[in-house]
Amino acid sequence: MGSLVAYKYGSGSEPRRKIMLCAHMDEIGMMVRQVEDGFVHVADIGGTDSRIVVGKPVLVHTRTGALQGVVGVRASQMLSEDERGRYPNVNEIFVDLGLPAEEVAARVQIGDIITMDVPLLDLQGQRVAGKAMDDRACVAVVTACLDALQRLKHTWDVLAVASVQEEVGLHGARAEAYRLHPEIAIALDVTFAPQPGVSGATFELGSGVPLALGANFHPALFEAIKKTAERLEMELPIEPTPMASGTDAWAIQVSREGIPTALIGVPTRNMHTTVETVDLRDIERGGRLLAEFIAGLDEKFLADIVWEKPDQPTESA
Amino acid sequence: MPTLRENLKQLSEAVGVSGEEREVRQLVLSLVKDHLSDAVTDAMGNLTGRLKSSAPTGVRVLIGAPMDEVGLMVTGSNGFLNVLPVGRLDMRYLAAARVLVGAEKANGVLLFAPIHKSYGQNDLPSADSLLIDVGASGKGGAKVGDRVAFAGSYAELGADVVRGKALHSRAACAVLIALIESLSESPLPLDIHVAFTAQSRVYGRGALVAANRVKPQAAFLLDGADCDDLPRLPDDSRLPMVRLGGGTALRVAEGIGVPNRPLLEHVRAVARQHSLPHQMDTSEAYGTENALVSQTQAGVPTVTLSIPVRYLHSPNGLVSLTDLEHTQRLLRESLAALTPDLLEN
Repeated sequence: MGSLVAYKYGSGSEPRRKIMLCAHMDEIGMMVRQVEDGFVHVADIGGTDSRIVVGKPVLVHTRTGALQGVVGVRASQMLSEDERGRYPNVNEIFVDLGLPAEEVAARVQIGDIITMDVPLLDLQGQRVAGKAMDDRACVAVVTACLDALQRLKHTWDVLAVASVQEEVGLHGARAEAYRLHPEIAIALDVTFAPQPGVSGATFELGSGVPLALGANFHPALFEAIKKTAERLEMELPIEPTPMASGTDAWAIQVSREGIPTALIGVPTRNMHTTVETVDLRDIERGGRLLAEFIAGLDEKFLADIVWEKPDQPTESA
Repeated sequence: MPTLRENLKQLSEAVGVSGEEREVRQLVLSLVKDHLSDAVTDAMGNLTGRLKSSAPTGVRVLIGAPMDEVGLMVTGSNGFLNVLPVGRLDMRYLAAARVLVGAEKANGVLLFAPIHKSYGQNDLPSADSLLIDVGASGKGGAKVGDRVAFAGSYAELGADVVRGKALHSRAACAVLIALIESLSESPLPLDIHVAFTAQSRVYGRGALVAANRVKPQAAFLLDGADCDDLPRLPDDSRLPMVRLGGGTALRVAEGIGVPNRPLLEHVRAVARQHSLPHQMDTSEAYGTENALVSQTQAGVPTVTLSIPVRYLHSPNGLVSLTDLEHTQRLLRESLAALTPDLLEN
């Protein structure tokens, strides 16, 4: 499929248990739908918001290299009555490469990928804004975890996955969960930070990485991660997610005969825009939590995370 | 000597929201000061001066180019910065925009609720609902009254077209700077005064004051024209009026006032004579510098030469360097052919 898997082998004796970490590396974007008189008409890939792309720089990835351009929209004096006072839809925007029509026709093909062309922006207070923080911020959490594991002893194998095609249907994670067949899995994806227009549960930037609770997650694995946070005296917000999480965790959980799965989030503002904003402290904290949890995995962990243990005394007994 | 291309990049990247054009003015001054006598920054923030190469007995001409750009002003803070618009903003370009806040140019972003939570909310927001996040809680060092400018992404898109912010005014500045250099090398028998004007986006009031100071017998103003050579709806059969790369746009009408007809015909005739591409713009664009300058003294013949700009109101407009060069030549040739009898009715 194109997913990347990094193996960090544990110190236990073979056959070793395996934990899969999964953060998606794909990003939303656009695709060339049609080329007309030098203008490139576009289609959405994975949920690009036509309201936020106009006037922003893009790259059109052609077979002969990337071309710089800008997302254009009709000038205000050209708008029909219906178009006034509202944002354009995806059929009303286009990419302008500033090149002669013949050159565009020769170089750009239907199906070429279009990405937003904006650098990561440093804001104050350890915050950054950029495209694709969904879900590169979580890929960064996984790398922070792998870094931290260099200094910790762990017996389980760690399979760190940067998955593909999450935004179009969780396809990379689905295939990788089947192929790797891990004993447990932790998916990582961005979640909502408070801002006007965002209702429901939100998590302030820099306040920690929320752990999701609901049908998509194994309750005992949830508890085990929570205990790790308590041991580290780390703030761990809980994100209630009653049904579908809309993340790689959704595909991983039902792979093969079922995989105990958890989900850790990184609070993000302006999700699915070119200024997705995250706090670097959350990324560091998430990496540390994952590494400490993994270092604590032992031979009997799997026996601990069953739903019921009727034949054994409970922990509190 | 820096080329037109290098100047345009620097000019586009400088920040000069209407009413606070300092950075652009200082940049312009550094580029033209050797060619000007008695350069003055006036009470409005205009930079005016007389060309050293001027002929004092010649017709007194004013050539103007605006320095400012639209933006926002910080009005307060409620966790995020509250702002109000400076100039006429096209609200389609503000969602999730990147901005520079205050003289320190602190990075900021316009908040936009994720599509997951705002799907179907397609009405453009009112300006007073805009919020800026600078990262820190509170104002993060921003002060009430700080100007906020769009952050553009300057780039050369091929051999002729460049992308950047504020090009409607900075392309005009770049052309005027090139003209000043050209007139310094090969002078004309005219008394030439230039004005890099402030507040063009606040009803053109900077140019009014510059014209009052210079008291010209004729005025030539540079500006940007909004291109409409863009994909149209199937039932829109109108032909484009202003094309990128189509040459200087000559505005026949404005929202208020009409350019001086004899002067406009003069420029048009010069364009034809020298085979310089030009296009007539009858869009009655919102441009008031021409109207205000033409009403100074007992009336001043005034004409505007506009450089075509695609996405003129956006943080990333496009201009054609060929259009800039042609406009500079058209202006130079129009000056060269200017005779006193043309200004008498």
